[in-house]
Amino acid sequence: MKLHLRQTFNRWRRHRLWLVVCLVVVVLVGTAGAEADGVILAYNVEQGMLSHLVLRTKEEVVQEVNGQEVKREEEFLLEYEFAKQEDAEGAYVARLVSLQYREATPFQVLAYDSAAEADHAPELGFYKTLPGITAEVSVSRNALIFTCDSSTFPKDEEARSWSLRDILRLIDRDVQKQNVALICGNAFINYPDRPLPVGAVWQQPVRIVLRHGTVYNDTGTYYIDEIEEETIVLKYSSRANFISLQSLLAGELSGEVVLDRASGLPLEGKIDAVFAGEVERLGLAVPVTMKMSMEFAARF
Amino acid sequence: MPKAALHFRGVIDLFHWRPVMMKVLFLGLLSLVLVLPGAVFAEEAILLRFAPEVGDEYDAALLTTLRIEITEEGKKEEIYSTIGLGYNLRFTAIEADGIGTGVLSCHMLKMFMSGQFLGTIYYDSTDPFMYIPREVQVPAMLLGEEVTIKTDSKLNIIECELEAVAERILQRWSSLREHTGEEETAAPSSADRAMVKAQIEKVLAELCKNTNPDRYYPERPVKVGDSWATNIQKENNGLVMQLAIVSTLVERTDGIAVIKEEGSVTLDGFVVPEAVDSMELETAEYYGIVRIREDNGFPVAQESKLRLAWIFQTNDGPIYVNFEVDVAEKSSGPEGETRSKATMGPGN
Repeated sequence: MKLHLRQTFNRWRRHRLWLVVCLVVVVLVGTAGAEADGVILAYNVEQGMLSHLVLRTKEEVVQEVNGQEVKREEEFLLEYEFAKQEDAEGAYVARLVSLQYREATPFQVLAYDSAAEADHAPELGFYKTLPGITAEVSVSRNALIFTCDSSTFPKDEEARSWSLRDILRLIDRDVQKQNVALICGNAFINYPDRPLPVGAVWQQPVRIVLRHGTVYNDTGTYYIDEIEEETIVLKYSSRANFISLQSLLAGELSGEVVLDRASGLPLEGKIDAVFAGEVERLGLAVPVTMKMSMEFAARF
Repeated sequence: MPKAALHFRGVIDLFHWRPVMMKVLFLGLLSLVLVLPGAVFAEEAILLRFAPEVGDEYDAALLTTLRIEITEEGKKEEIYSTIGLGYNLRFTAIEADGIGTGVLSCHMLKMFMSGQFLGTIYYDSTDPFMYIPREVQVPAMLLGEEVTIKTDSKLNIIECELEAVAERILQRWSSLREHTGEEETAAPSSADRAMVKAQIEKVLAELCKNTNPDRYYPERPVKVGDSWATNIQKENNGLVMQLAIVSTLVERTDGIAVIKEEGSVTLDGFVVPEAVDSMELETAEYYGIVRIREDNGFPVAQESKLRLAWIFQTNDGPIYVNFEVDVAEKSSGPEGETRSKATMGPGN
C-alpha cells in the first residue's frame, strides 16, 4: 500500500501542471477598495466577472547522471473558462477548454494540441484526457477555494476492453484524484482583514501532508508594491520544499501579480521558481535542478 | 580606308580592349584557383575509420520506434513501442593497432509500450519524477551504470565486461525488493538471482553486438558516388533476417561524410500458422542515412527505416500486417556535434 501511494503521488508530480494551478491560486488575492491607511484585500466577484483564464508555463529540468547533464523542457498553454453555478452563492465551475503541451528532450520533441485533429504521439495520450475536466471554485470575501471534482479528473476514458494493468492504473488514478483535490483544497491563502498600505507584508504558511507522508511546505510572503486607481501590484516570494520518500527538493518562488481592485481577481502575473535537490531512482541518487516560469492572463 | 589608318585603329582597339581582356583573363585564372582545389578535394578518396584519441567523448541519444499494424476484417490493431538510450563513451586508452578502451555509461532511458493487450507501460528518465513501472525496473537500473569496452577501427565492440554491471544491477534489484516489501519472499533465491543475472548479461551482450556500425567503414578508400555492400544477419527464435545493405558516399561537407543506405530484406525460418493458407511478403525495404566525421570517424547522426508488409490469406479473409522500425541517433554533445579532444574546451 505504501508503494502504491508513493507511485500514485509520483504520477501526480509528473503532471505538474497542477502545481502550476496551485501557484496561480496562491496569488489570487484582491482588494475591495482603498482605506485611508491602505486597502482591504477581498474578493468581490460579480456574476460574469470570473470568466476566462489563460496560463502559460515553461519548465526546465536538468539532471546530472554519471557526470552528464540531461535537460528536459516542458511547456503548457492552458485555457480555463468559468461558469457561475445558478443556485449557489459564490460558486463557479472552472473547465479546462484547451491545452497545448510540448516537451523537448535529447531524444525527441513531442507536442499535443487539443484543438488540432492530427494524431498525437502515443506517449502523450494522458493529455488527451485532460480537456473538459472541471473543478469547483467557491469565492468568499477573503478566500477563493479551488476543489477538483474527483469524478472528473481526469475525464473518463472511452469505453473499451480493459487489461488488468489498465484496471490497476484506474485505481491508482482514483487515489490520484483525491491527492489533487487535497492539494488544491489546501493551497489557498486566507488574507488579512486589516488595511494594507504600500509596503505592507504578510505571510501565509502552507503545509500539506498527504496520507503517505509526503509533505509540501511553502511559506509565501506577500508585499504590496503599488496601489493604482484600478490595479494593485503585488510581489510574491516563497521558500518551499518538497519532501517525499524519494526526493528532497528545496527552492524559491518569486513573482509579480497585477490585481483588479474592483473584483480582487488577478489580471496578469509572472512567477518564477527554482528547485534543487536530489531524487532517488531505484537506489541511484540523481541531482536535479528544476526551473519553472509561469505567466498568466485573465479576461473578465 | 588607308592601310595605315586601319593599323592605327587596330592599335587603338587593342589598347581599348586590353584592360577588358586582362580582367577576363584574371577572372578566369582566379576561377581556376578557386575551383581546382575543390575539384581535387572531391576527387580525393577517403578511408573512413573510427580513430578516437585518449580523452575523446561521444554522447548520443538513440531512439528506436517499432510500429506493428494488424488489419483483419476492417479492424485495426496497433502495437507501438519506443526504446531510447542515452549514452556516453569516454576513451581512456588507445593501443598501437587502434583498439580503443573506453567507459560506456548510460545517462538516459526511455521505454514506451502500448497495445490492446499490453496496456500502457511508460518510463522516461528525462523526467526525474516519473513513476517507474514494475515491468521496466530492471532495465531502468541501467541508468547510472557504466561498463568498460574495447572498440576496433570500425566501432565494433570487441570486448565488454558485463559481469560486474550485471552483478550491480542484481544487487540494486534485490535491495529494491527487500526495501519495498513488495514480494512475500523478501530476498530472491540464489536460483532466481542466477537466472536474472544471466538474463541481464544476455540482454547487454545483445545490445553490444547488435549495433553493426562496421557498415559505415568500407574496406577501401571511397569517393563521392562510390558504393559498398554489407550483409547483416539477425536471428531470433529461429527466424533469420538477412539485410543486404548498399551504402553510397553521397556528400562530403565541412568534414562530415554523408552515407546513404538502401537495403533489401529476406526472411527465412518463418513458421506459417496452420490457419494461414498462404503468406506473401509484399514489401521488404530498408533506408538509412548516416553522417560521420571524416577526421576521427565518429558518427554524428544516423536515421534508418525498416519496413515489412505481409498479406496472410486465411479462410476468414486476408490479414494485413505492417511492421516498421525507425531508428534515430544523434549526438547530444555541445552544438549537436560529437565531442572530440580537439573540440572540447575547459569545463566541457
